[in-house]
This record gives sequence, structure tokens and C-alpha cells, in this order.
Amino acid sequence: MRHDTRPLRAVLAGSILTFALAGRLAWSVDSSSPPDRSSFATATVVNPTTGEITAIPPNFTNTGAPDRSSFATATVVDPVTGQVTSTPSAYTNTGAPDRSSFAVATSVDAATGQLLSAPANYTGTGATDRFTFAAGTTVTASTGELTGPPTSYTDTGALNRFGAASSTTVTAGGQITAVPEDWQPSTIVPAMSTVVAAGLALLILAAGLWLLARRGVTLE
Amino acid sequence: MSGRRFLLLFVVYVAAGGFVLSLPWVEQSLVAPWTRLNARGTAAIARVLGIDAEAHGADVFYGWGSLRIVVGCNGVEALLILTSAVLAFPAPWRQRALGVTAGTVAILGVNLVRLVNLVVVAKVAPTWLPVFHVYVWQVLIVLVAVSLFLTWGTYVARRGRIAGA
Repeated sequence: MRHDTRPLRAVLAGSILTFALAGRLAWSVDSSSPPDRSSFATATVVNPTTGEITAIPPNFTNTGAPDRSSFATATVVDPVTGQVTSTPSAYTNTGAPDRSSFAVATSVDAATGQLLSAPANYTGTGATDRFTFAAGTTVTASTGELTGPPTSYTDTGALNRFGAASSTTVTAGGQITAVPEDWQPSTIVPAMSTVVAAGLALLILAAGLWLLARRGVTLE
Repeated sequence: MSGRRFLLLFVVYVAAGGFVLSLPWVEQSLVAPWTRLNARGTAAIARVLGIDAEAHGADVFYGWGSLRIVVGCNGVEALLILTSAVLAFPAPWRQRALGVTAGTVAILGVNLVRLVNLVVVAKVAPTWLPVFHVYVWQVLIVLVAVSLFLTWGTYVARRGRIAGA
């Protein structure tokens, strides 16, 4: 008895086409320039007079921080006192729900660059000792170089933040000129893209139909 | 029994499972804790391999880099597709339960191996991370899921337990 295998072939072809599409989409992504934080940093300019961030990379597409650029452009720092005076009120980054509260309560000594105060009652989950880190950080006012991150900083959740901070330099003009070359940006690791998942579903469907067809069960 | 029933049930199970997983309560109570558990397991195994890794929430930090395990990277999607196919397949319920159990252990285990491997690659050869992340492991996850289903389905068929055959 010969069964109609057209549905099976159609599903299999659909699966192959879907995987081909996934491969094409993956190939079209420029993996040579990942959405790294360092590129973002070096293209950011701060007005040294007003403290306002005046330029950020227009094509920054870090999917892990979709609203970081919005946050940056709406943030203002008092150049005299070093206090962050304004942050976007509608900032709703779920990854840091109280980052704006933390920012507005932080002040920096403009002459020495030392952080004078941070909110004592900051209880942001995931950053329990950010306060300790902030209070122990110093910046050279003339060169902008971070000179004194706390050596005993042991926040396991921010192992790389310490390294990144200590290797970052800022000119007196407000431009970040150097970030650690080997600082790795946070990489988001989904198991599979939606297109690949669709291809997997079709392939498994084809496998099921093939198994059934071998037993004489068809779509009729 | 016809292949059409398998096809329809498969689509219904995938859609229903996807809907349930997208419910905020399920995501916060089950999926997110599972994702964080993945991060802790990944960091623990990486430390055994000599990498100074720490998990913090869904982030795995290693030296100056970090991987963030988001909801879609905990193996749940592949498991949903495989489980839907097993449940839709016309086999005795005992065989389906066996298939779902074996599939769950295998997919989640392979995904943990994948996460540890990505940490190792990110640490020792970061320029290769996109290749392993986008190409190698997506292909491997697909091959593992399809192989599992074919192995289980062949086992069921050889025992003559396909209902309606």
C-alpha cells in the first residue's frame, strides 16, 4: 500500500526553509561588532560645564539595555557639587528598578572626585553592596581617571564592574577615552531564536509524521 | 487515529504550553526561579572547571565578563516542543510519561552543559562566543531534541504500541 507522503514532505521542506531563514538572519548580524558597552562608553560625551550628557552613539542597539540611551540623555549632573540632579522619571528598567533613586541621592566631591554620599538605605536587590562600592570610589578630578575603587570590594554580582571601573579614563572635556580592552560585555544567551524554535517544531512534526507513516498512519 | 490528530494535538499543546509559560504568575514563580537555578548550577560547574565564576540572580560573572541567562535560554522552549510532540503522539500514556521524563532530563541537562560551555568559551576564547552561541549550540539543541523524539518514537513503534496503527 502506497501512502501520500506530500504532507510529510511539505512539513520537512518547511522545516528546512525555516532553518535556512534562521541561518540567514544569524549571518546578517554583524558579529564582529557585538553590542558592547565599551563602544557605547567611548562614544559618549559629557558637557563639563553643565554635566549633561550631550552625545551618545545613535546606532547603539544593545538589546540587553534597550533604554540605557534614553536614561543617559535624560540624566544631569551638577558640575559644582557633583550631585545627580535629574534622571528620567519614567525610567522603568526592570533590571534596576531603583537605579534612579540611587543616582539622585549620590553626590561627588567636584574637587577631589571622591564620592561623598550614597543612599544609606539603598536596598536594591542584586546590588546590596553597591553603596560600599560607591563610597569607596575616587576619581582624579584633573584627568578623570578612576584611581581608587575599593580594593576589598567583593560583590560577587559585579566582579567585572570593579575591573571595568578601574581601567576607565575620562578627559577633562568629559569624553571617555579608554575602557579596558578585554572587558567583556554582558552577553545574553537565549537557547534558541524564535525562528530556530519554529524550525525545531516543524522538524519534530515531520519526524512524528514519518514515524506514523511507517506504521501505516497517514493524514487521511 | 490519523496523523491529522497528531498534527492538531501537537499544535494545540505547543500553543497552550506557550500561553501558560507566558503567564506572569508562571513566569515569576516557576520559570524565573528555574532560570536562576540554571545560573547557579552553571557557576558551580564552571568553578569545578577552574573558572572563577559567580552567579548573581540570572547573571553568571567570570572575571571581567558576564553571561545573562534570560527566560528563553533555560531550555524550556525546546522542552515544550519535545513534550508537546510526545504527548500528541499516539502511544500509551505510560510510554508518553517515560518520553516526557527522559526528554526533560536530557534537554535540561544538555542545556546546562551548553551554558557551562558558553562560560568556558567566553572566558578563554571570547571571539568564538557568537559562533558557539548562535550556531553550534542551537544546532546541537535541535539535533538532541529531534534525536530524542525519534529514538522514543521508534521504541514505541517497535513495541507495536502506536494506537490506531
